[in-house]
Amino acid sequence: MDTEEYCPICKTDKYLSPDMKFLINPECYHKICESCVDRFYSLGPSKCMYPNCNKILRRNKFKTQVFDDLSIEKECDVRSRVMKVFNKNEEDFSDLKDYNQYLEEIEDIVNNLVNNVDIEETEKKLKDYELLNQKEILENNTKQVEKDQIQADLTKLETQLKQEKRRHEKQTAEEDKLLKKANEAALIDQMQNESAQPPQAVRMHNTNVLRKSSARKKHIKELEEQINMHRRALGAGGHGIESSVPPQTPFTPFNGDKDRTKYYQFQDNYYDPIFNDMVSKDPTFTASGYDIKKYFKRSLAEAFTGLNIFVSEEIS
Amino acid sequence: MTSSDSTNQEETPQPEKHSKQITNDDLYRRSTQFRFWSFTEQRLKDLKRSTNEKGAANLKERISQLDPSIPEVSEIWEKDLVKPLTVEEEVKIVEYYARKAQGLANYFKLPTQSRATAISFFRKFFLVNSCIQFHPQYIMYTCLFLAAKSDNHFIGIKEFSKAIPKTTPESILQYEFQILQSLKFALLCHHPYKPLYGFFLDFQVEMKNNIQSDKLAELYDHARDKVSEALFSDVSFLFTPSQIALAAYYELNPELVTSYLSKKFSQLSTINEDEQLKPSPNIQTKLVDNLKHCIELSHASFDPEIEEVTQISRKVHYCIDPMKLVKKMQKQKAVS
Repeated sequence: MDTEEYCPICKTDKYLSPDMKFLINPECYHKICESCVDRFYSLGPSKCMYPNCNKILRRNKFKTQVFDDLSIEKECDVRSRVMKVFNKNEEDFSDLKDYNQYLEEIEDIVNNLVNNVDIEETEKKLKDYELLNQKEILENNTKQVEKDQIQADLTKLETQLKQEKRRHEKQTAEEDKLLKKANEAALIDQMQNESAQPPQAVRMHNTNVLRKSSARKKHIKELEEQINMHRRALGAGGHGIESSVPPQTPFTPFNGDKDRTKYYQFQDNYYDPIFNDMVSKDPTFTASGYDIKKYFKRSLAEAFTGLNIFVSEEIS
Repeated sequence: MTSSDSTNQEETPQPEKHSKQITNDDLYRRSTQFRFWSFTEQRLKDLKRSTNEKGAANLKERISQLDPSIPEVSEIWEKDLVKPLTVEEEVKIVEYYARKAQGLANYFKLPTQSRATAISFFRKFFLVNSCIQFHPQYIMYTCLFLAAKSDNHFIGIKEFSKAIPKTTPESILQYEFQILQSLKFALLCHHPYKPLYGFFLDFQVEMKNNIQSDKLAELYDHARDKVSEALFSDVSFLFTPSQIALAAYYELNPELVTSYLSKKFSQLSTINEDEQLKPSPNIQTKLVDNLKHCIELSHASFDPEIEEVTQISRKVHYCIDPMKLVKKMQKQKAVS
């Protein structure tokens, strides 16, 4: 039977007790069912129940498994642990290269911890870094928390705005319907009474509707402004590297502008009886959109390509 | 953030007023023809010599590996009967087959451009490979086939080999990759024909008062012949296509080209406000000297005599397969 189906300690079967949950401990990643964890570890730290596994486990470190693959689960844990210490952001670096170096370092540590390479050394490295950069790590953590807060606010506001907009649309549609009905009724009234002006009631209704809809529009605008403000607050931190880069000129394939000097004066007509004749008389040329001027231009351009290159001097 | 923004702005250098100008010359400098296949005269000479030496060394090795039990082999060793080609002989036979390629291209009715490409491929191949290892005749067929293909004038391989006696599709295709490799996979060739036509057009505008249209057309035709002839010399490795084209005109009508150039350069120095782009004062004389040199070198090509070539060709056959000589000697001995 597959180990997923029953707890190896108490042999409780998942089939018979479908409520059973498995827990794992990041120390050794052995699966134990919830009730066993309660039984063995509620009194304090104890050894892992698996044979030959001598890890000491604690009750509060047990957690539910997120990924089926335990190696992924382990990597995620290690990564979150490392990232708590190595928590610098892109904007903390002045140079993209430095930042990449930093990321590389993180990956090395994660890789070592996951694959059990130089564990002691890596752990020491991690600890040293933590001690050295305690203050920075704390600062970065608070920064991150703030940022997350702003992001959360932003999402909340955005959903709010969406809802408001939807409500506004719905209400306008409803009011339009009512207004149309009222107008129709008024028209019938008018035709019956032959009075020149629409009745007071309809006019009142119209102004009311207008006032309401403008108020709603104002509210939506306010919300939008708030969102923009939040966005700016978020965006302000994100340009540490970009702003130090000089403004880039538009992309040019050869790193420079094309030389616009006219080395020749282009004419619409050139003397070449044979070629001109051929192109004008043969419909296959004109049918395919062949333009004789393009050929002239290309030939002229090639005539002034490389005229100033003295190969013997430039090739060394 | 706003404060750091302002400091950053101070630090960043203002974009230069004159950004770098990319001229057509710069574009040519990026071409494979300039980067891989342009040399100084000395370098070209050295290259030919070192290729020949490499071929000779290869031949020596192959001869030494022949079966020593055959009596004729030791005779070859003693009397040194299989001699490698000299550089001059190589040049001659390559030239001969380059001219053959032209005739064959005409038979297939290839455009001038493709014909020139084939000759260019062929000459480039024998700049890095020696005739001691490859017979130019077979390489020439493959070069022609490849040039037609790369210049968008495809001829089917079956049709191609049917038209050439004693060839099979395989015998032509077997060298294809080797040639591509020797060309460093750079298949685009810039030939002087387009610049030649370009100058013909520009002469019409600039030299309106100096020469009549029909005379100019005549001049163009003759210049075209000159350019076609120059394909067999080394000028394509030493000069740019537009210089070769202008040199062809210069050879036929130096007065016209001289006055054309002075008119052009005076125009250039007036319309260019940018100091950077202004032509330097002595560039015209430099260019003319360059053209003269180009003409001189283009005459270095010659049409080798057929008897001489057959002799060299026989030598090439033995160089490529020394066993042929062995068999011939055995036959002679059997007869006598």
